[in-house]
Amino acid sequence: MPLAEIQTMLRQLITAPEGVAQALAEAGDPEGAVLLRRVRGDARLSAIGRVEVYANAYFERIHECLASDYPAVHWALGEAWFRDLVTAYLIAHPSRHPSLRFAGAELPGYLARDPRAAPFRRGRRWLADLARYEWALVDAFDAADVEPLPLAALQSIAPEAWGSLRFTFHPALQLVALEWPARGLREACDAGSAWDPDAEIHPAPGATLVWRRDERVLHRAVGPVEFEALACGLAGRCFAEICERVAAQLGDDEAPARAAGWLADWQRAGLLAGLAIG
Amino acid sequence: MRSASHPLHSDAPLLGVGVGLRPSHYPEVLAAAARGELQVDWFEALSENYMVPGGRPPRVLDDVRSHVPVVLHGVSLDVGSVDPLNETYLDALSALAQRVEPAWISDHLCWTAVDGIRLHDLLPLPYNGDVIRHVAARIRRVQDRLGRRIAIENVSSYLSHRDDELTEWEFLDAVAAEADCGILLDVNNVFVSAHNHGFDALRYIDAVPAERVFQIHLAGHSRHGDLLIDTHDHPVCDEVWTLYAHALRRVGAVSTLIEWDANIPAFDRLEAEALRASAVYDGVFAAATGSGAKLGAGHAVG
Repeated sequence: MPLAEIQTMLRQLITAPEGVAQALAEAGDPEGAVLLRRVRGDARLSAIGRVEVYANAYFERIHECLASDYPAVHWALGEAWFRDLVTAYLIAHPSRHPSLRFAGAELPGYLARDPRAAPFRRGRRWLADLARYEWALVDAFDAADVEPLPLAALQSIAPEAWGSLRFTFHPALQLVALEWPARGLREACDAGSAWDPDAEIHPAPGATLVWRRDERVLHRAVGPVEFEALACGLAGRCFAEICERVAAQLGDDEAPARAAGWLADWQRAGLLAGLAIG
Repeated sequence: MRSASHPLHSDAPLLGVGVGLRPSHYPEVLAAAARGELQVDWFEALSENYMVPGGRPPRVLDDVRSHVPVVLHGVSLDVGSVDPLNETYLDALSALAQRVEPAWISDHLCWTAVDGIRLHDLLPLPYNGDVIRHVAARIRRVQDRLGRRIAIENVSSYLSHRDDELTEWEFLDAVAAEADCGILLDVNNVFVSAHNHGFDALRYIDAVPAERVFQIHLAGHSRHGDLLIDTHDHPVCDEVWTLYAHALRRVGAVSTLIEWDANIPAFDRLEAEALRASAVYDGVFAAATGSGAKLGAGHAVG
């Protein structure tokens, strides 16, 4: 048997969601003849039992990784449901990246859209938002480093050039629009609160800003107009266009001062990485 | 610490005794390094954990590297898979190596993925001529790409293939010879696999080509039913310390590393384990040479 066939056979058995013995039984080979031709067992442990060692390790390793990346999803679902989620998720999205760091990358989209995730969404319409927020924290943790834009760089801009200023932002910066109070749920989890299965979670549309300052991942709520302004800046629009967007919401009188105020906030928080004129 | 009184066979530098660099120890390691009070001579960093664009892990690694030597140890090079070598991974490893300037780079003699799906585990290969040629050719490509010899580590295993035509130690020797690469001899893995497959650990150690051994790994393991599992969640057991002394007598002066990856203790407990390795080392070579010369674990090496 070529090496490729041996590896594929073992991969199929190790990743089988129902376990090695059940997978063989469902394939009409309960004795595991296909496996026994290739893998040795002995008096201490059968060939099936030996492959199960790897199958258990496969699941437990990824479960541990996802529980670490999604602590509030884990907390809210409880261990049994979370294990079911990991099992179902791995069927849809087996790990394809060399690093476990990315094993959970597809979980927010899976929870939001995959029909197979319906049992996890039922009664928990907030779950996908929570996962999306937690993954933003993971992504911010190891995004590229850049030097924050110094205040002097903004102060040196000539008044007539302000309108055509464009900004680059810290690579860790993410603007996460949420329908549910994901940030509050994660904070409750981090605080060690007990999960209340009877608690009603109400929609709380809003946006959260996630970023990193030096090595610390930070987050705060963003109001709808600042959200628009930031999204505009992230899309590469110039400051005049950002002001126009703000003016459409707040009026011409208030817009320039509010936009300038937010810009100053962004600079102080380390969200800005660079600027260009034109 | 190259010493004429210590039989040094491989061309890897002798770094002393190190430990694996783990995030839970970052604060203690950085503080001790800044004070010049590290009780270990070097660190082994898990390559994949630092193949990220930025943030805390690469900064910590740069800081540690400014104080002591660092070696890069990967788990996803996948020299044994039938899937093509992952070019993106090799680019990232190459970039990391340029940044860190590791004393050497190692990974495992195993397969970890197939059909594009990652098992995130170290699976044993069939030990036969076809597989030797397959794996050795891939290691050579990696070495050409990185511009340096790498070391391959023997893994703990829980299954064996009916297609085996060689013992594991014959396979390791043949792959290393055909690829002209180094070996990372994991003494705990030899002990675990010897138990799980019923072979003699001493026979394995005695067959390892000493001139290729860049490094030794020591770790703890757990018993699950009738098998031993390489869990890295315990201290090194007495039998593995004894096997380590035997390995040193066999392969000579080799850099040694303590791995501890689960139920990770406080850093000083890990330092104590490193000091024990240093004491075993010193005992072996003092007995062999009568020199009483000391190795590592806080001692200067060069």
